[in-house]
Amino acid sequence: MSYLSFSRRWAGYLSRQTNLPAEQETVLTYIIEVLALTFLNVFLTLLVGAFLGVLPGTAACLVTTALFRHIAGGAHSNSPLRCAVVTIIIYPMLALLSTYFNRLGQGAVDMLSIVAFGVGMMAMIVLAPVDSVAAPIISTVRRKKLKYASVAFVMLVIVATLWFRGSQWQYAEMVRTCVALTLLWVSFMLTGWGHGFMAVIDGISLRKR
Amino acid sequence: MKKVKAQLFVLVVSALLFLANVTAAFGASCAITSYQPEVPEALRK
Repeated sequence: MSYLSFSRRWAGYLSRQTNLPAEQETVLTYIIEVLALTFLNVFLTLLVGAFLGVLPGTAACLVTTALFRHIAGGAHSNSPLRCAVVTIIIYPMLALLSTYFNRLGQGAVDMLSIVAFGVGMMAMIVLAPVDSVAAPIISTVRRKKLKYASVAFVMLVIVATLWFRGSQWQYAEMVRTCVALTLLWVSFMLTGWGHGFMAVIDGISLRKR
Repeated sequence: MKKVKAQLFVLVVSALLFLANVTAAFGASCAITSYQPEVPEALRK
C-alpha cells in the first residue's frame, strides 16, 4: 500500500498511542489521507471560487460532485497534486461558466438542465459505478446498489433543481446552472474520454528540460 | 490527565476507523477529489 508520508506519520503516531494492530493502522492511514486531501481540496477550491466572485456556485458544484463522485466513481489521477490542481481549477470554472449561461436567460438554463439530466441519467444507467484499481468493487450486489443509488441521486437533483426554479433566492439560478454543469462533468468522468483526460493530465511532464 | 488523554486518543481513532468503514462501504470512490488513495484489503467489498 502506498500512502503519502504525512498520513503514514500521523497514523503511526495515533496507532502507537492506542496500540493498534498493523492492519488497523493501514485503515487509519487511508482515512487520514482521504480526509486531509478532501478538506484541503475543498478549502482551496472555495478560496478560488470566492476570489473569482462565484463562491455560492462553486459550493453548489462541490456538493453535487460529492453526491455523485462518491457513489458513481469515475476517472482518477495518479497524483494527489495533479488531482488538487484539476479540482481547484474545474469547479470555480464551472461556476464562472454558469454566470454566462445565466445571462442567456431562463430558457437557456432550462435547456441546459434538460440536456444535463438526460446525459446524467444515461451515464448513471449505462456506466455507473466506475471503480478503479485502488478501490475495486468486488461484490456484484454492491455494484448494483451503487448503480441504483446513482440513478436515485439524479432524480433527487432533478427535484432539487425544480425547487430552485421556483425559488426567489438570489443565487437559485446560479445554483441550478452549476448543478447541471457539474452533472455533465461527473458524467464525462465516467466515460472513456474522462479516463483519457485524466491520463493526459497524468502524462504532463513537470520536469524542466 | 494522562487517562483523559489516552481516552481521547481511543475516541479519535475509533471515530476515524468508523468513518473509514462507512466511506469504503457506501461509495465507489473518495468524495470530491480526483485522486483515490488505495483502499485497504480489509475494507474492500
